[in-house]
Amino acid sequence: MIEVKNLSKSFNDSKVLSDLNLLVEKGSIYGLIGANGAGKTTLIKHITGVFKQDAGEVLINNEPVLDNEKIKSRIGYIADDLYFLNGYSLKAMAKYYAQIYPHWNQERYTKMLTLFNLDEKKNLSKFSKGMRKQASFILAMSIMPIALILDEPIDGLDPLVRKKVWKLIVEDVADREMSVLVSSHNLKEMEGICDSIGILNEGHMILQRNLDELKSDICKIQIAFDGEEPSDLQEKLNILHKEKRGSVNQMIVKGNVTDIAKLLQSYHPLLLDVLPLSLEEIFIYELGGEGYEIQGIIF
Amino acid sequence: MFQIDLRNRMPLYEQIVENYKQLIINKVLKTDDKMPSVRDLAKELTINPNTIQKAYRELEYQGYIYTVKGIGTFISGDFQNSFDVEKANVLKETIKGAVLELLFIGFPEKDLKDYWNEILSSRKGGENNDRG
Amino acid sequence: MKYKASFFSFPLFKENLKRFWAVSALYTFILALGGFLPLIMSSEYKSSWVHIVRVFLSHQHPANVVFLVSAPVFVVFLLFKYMQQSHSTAVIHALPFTRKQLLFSNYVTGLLLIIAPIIINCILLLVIKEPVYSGNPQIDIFTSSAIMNWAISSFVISLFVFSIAILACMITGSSLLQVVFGIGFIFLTPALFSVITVYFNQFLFGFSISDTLEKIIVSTSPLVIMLTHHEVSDKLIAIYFIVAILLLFVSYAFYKARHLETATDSISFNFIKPIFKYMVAFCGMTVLGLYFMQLGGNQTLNMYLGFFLGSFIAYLIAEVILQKTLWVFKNIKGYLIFLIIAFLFILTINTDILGYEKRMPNLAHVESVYVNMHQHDKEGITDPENMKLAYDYHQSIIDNKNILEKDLLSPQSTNRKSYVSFTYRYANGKEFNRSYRIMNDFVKNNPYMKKLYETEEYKNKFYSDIFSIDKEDLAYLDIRSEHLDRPGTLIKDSDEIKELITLFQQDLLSKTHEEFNNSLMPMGTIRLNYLSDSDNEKYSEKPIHALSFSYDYKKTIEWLESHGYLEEFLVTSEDIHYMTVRKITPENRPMSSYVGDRESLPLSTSELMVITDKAQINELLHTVEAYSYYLNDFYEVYIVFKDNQGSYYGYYSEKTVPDFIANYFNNQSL
Repeated sequence: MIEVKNLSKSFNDSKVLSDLNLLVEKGSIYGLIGANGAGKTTLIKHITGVFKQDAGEVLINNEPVLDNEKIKSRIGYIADDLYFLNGYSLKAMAKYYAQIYPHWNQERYTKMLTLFNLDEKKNLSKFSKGMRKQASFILAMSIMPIALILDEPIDGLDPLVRKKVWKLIVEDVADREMSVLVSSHNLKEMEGICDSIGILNEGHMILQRNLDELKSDICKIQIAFDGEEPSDLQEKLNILHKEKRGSVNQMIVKGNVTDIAKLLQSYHPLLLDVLPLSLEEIFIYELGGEGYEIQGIIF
Repeated sequence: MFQIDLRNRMPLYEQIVENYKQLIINKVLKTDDKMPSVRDLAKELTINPNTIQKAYRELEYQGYIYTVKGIGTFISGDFQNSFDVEKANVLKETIKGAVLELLFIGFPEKDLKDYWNEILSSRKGGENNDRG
Repeated sequence: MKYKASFFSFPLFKENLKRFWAVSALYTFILALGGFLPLIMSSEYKSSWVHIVRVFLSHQHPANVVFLVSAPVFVVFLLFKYMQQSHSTAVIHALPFTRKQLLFSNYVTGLLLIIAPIIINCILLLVIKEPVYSGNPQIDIFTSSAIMNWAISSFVISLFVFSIAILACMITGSSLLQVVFGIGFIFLTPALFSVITVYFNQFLFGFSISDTLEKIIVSTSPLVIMLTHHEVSDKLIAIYFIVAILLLFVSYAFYKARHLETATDSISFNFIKPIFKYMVAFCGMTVLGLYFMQLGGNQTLNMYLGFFLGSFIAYLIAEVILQKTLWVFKNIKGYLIFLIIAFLFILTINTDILGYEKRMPNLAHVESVYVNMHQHDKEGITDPENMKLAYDYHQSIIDNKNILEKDLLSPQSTNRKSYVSFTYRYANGKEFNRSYRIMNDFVKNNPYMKKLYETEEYKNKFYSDIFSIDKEDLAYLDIRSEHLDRPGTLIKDSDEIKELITLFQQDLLSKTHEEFNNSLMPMGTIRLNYLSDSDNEKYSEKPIHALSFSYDYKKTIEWLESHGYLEEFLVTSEDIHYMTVRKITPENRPMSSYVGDRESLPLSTSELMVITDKAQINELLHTVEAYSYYLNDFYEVYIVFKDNQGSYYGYYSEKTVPDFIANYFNNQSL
């Protein structure tokens, strides 16, 4: 379980993370999304025990991560900026990891090696970027982590490889209740695999929720009335955004979807479409509330 | 057994629930058949186990499946009359609206009834062919 | 295999060795290049072993220096490079190690990488060692203990450098600066000390550092000690070792406190940034201030201009390094703070609030005094009356500080300057040192110094090397005149030798202070050749090999004349082809007056006076001075020997020039 409480961090007078809270339950796949520069990598580097916070706590299984080699030996980390020891092959890295990670699983390593079809003897610097990511993934998984942290890992891998990666991750989550924290810009993919979402913007966690709950709490309405729009619509509904295209109203409404649909049906509209928002739309909307121009993007 | 459509806006777990309901209603899955464990299904479909878990809970809540502790999850026998009433109402309204509109644009009433029967019979055909 | 202590990780240690063992091998070879290999390759010619062994075991060989400086710094660079880049720092610190383990495991690896070449070379030398004799008396310098001592001092010195390099690494995020600081910190203390003494020298009248203090400062850097051939005592070795260990703990504190996101930053700790900027500004200030001062002929205004410009430019450079961009003009506030500090610093020294300039020692506790004498090889004045004379002399300098300082700083000053130094040694071994650069006239005319100089005690101690000549050991004397390169007169009779030397010593005793301070051209030099000169070792230990005398050494000259030697070597007008005189004014100074040794005489012109009259030539030979006057008008005499035997220069000031020359040039300007 990964827990961040009231985390604050400044780089030289500019605050990059403000009073941040995050929770990844055991056996959960948590998607961390945010604009570029929002602070995702900084946050992740706190969770992996690299950065020291100015204030707050960073805990994995209730133990602080910083300078804690016991907990770090259970964290699998794929950095956005990959690094391997100079001149090392995957085999050499694996041998090293085998010695320093107490739960290293050589069988798994071999299996994954075959699955991804990598040459373990080749110098890692000679690998393509995608292959280096795969190598990094193999190493991270072979230590049998209880927490897997992926900083924009999947972006850049071909679809076949991506499928393999997710499959392996899901297996570990299912079998061993591994916690996973993924940061990515590929919202469609995240939507399909994450059960929880956290949206980071300018160092603040704007929202953090179970994805299904999030989605069931907000919907997109396309509605056309026969005649005037009912006057009490505004008060009865928590309308977050409204656009009018001809006679059709387009609204984003917060609240229980079924209740909203029922209410709207009661007005006997000519046209009524109640649609869930995709994660991408939720993301754009939430950031739109912070100043992004969302006109026309969502509909 | 079935495909998850990621482009479908229905939440994943709902898609699973609906899909399983279809299979169960159409008798593709028989009473007391064993369901795959949450873990196995998650692995097979490459879907978040929590999502599967949720789907199973919903199916169990709606009475389509039951769990025997330590043994597994199985298909229920007596779901015949259990369905989501609220959802049914919404759908009924939708059908009503659609039918009215069809008539409004000039669709012949007689054809409407034929069409209705066509829908019902195509379901039965699916039942015969789909041995998944 | 999974050996784990809370501060050490064996796998990390092993992996480091796997990655970097080649560096150790390289340095083993480098060290071998200075000792083992040359010895092996010249094993046929054992005589060359003395030099090789002596040089190598005293860390004087380039291989030693390269090893001691670059091995630790390079090893640290390799081991800690991961901290200076953001991707490697993230991955390495995410590995299951604590910072303690990272630091100490890397530290141990580094030590091993450095000590292996030392141990291997030590063993190799022990294997091939044979007795090699050197010194007086002859001792074996190639013993096991000598080799072990070499190994231990090598280890401790490189350990020291290694610890400093690690500390440097902790405070910066740039690999380049890590190396720069690593090497720079080694010389930091002596360098800072030198820079600060520039100001003391400039602003404190009489500033002087005692030798012991200098030795202490120098010994804070083992490399400086090595490079300046000072001895490294056992006590010093122990101190270096302790300091190196302490530095390790300081480094750990820094590592723990370090924000890893400062990888690639120039300096990782905010509190160090101003220190860095101010130190750079301070150095820039000193360098440019000194330079401008020299350019401008000692004017203080130039110096302050140099201070200001130098500090400003250096400060900007430091800011550029820190911020890694050229646009740094916004942060001038820090520079203003520096200016204030620098101003206060100079003001404090200038106003001498601690009373350094006026302070005099407590004569009651003084055991001996040295005036213009190097204290390590001579005895000091101990007679109370004479000590009082020295004291009064010293006091008179201080009393006249204003006049003397003004003269010193005035670019128009035409006075020659001399150095005067005082060292008072107390009974408890402590010293009181002062050293002054003041006008020669003051020294020449000072009654106290005159009295002191002319005391027997002073003469005996000041010229102790001349008075301690072992007359029995003299083989022969070789007397030549100055400048004329012809075979000298030899005196081989031992009685004559003893007589002449004794008379010379008596002349010394009766020499007056005025005579001591005249700048007459020496008349000749007596070269002393000892019986024991053939021994290479003994040669360098002999105190004196040449005695120079001029026209006021009456007894010596009389004896030489009466024994017929004088006319053999003395330069007379017979030896001179001609002389030319030029008057050098500030306008024509740069031009050389070399007209070449010519067969025919040059022509007299308004600028050049040619002298061929024998009487005049004789007069010039006896009175011409050896040193020129740089700052005002003077006369340059060019003396050419007959038969192409060479030439030389002599000088006169306006005051000392013979009338007939002065008249010549005065007539020219009419």
